[in-house]
Amino acid sequence: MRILENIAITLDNEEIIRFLQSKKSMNKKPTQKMVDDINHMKEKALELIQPMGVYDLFDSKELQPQFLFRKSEKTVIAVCTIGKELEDKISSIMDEGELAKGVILDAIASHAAEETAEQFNQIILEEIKKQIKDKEVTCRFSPGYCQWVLEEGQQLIFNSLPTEFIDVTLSVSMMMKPVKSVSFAFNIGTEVDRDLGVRDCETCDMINCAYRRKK
Amino acid sequence: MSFPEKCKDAILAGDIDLSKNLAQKAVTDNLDINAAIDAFSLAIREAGDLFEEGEFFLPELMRSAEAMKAAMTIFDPIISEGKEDRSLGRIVIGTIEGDIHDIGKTLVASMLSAEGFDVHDLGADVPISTFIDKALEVNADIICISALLTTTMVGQKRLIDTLEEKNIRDKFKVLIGGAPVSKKWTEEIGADGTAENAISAVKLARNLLGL
Repeated sequence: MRILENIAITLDNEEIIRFLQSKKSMNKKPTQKMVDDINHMKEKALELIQPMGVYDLFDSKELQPQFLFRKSEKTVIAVCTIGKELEDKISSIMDEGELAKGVILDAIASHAAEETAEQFNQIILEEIKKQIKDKEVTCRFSPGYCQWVLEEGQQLIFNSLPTEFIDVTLSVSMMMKPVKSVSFAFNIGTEVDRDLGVRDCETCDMINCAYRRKK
Repeated sequence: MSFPEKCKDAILAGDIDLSKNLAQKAVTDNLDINAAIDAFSLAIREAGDLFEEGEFFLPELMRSAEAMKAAMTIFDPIISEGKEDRSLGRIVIGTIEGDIHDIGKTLVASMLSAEGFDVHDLGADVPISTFIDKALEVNADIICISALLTTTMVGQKRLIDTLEEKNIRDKFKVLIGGAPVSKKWTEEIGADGTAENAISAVKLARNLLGL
């Protein structure tokens, strides 16, 4: 089991703006004022974000449901988070009625959580590179996606990892606290299912998702 | 520039101070308060349309909502003194028990409030009994219930089932929202509607109340 603190992330304005658009504004450029606001709040957010994660490597044959793991030899199970400080800040700002600031900070937090998962995934691959030499690795996949039932997936992950070390807890409704946390797995083997965990808006079932990327 | 045009500019620019000043000027100059509020209401509706048409980003819409709220803080004491009820309807809104996602629901509540509904926001992680008790207490027209997870959206069904068990389902329209909510789920549980964003939710609420 490994715990990583201070995962370095960079925040991309384009991704933040994607969370702040309606479907019809996909081709519209934000005003300079909005970009300035995002840049200003990004600085504030970065002071409050504490990206960290925990992961471990497991024998895939011991994991359920087998349809997700049967072609794999080893599976990495991981949880990462941006911490709770930014989330608390967003709540207090929204409570004070500063809605515009609140939605920008929330978009930054959502992007930061995705970026933390991406960077954490890369760090794990680097740390286990000897064990994955000459093997194939799937993309990461999360409970609630890839036909992995949310309850089943979250229970497996949280029963497998000491998430208390990064202060992430799971509620009875399978919700992670802090909310801006990501739980995931990826498979390693000589003949893994390469399509597993491919995250692509075009193939996603949530066709009405507000954040669906344009083609 | 006419007063309604000034209101429109202030709201669309999300200018909180200017909106407040214009509202104050309407009061000081003894303008028709109802006409003044109507001018602001038209402007916030236009901001909603601009968001739906893709001209506004979410922060711009929220800034307009903040400006509208600032203007209404001036008008509210006068409205409460008068006999005329300007409220479009009473709405109880919250995120279901077990779910702490708050922001989407707060945006819907803010836009409903800016539109002129009397909104009672119960927050997140709200038990079904609290929704019902509050709706009965304020004689609500609509209950809006949000859920962001497949595990918690079953609470939306439980709310409707409980209303039916208590024989009070007909007293309220029930709107449901949240990322996993689909049209199919809305029909399956017998809700009165769902909307994909805050502006659609406002339009749906108006339609349901025949406004």
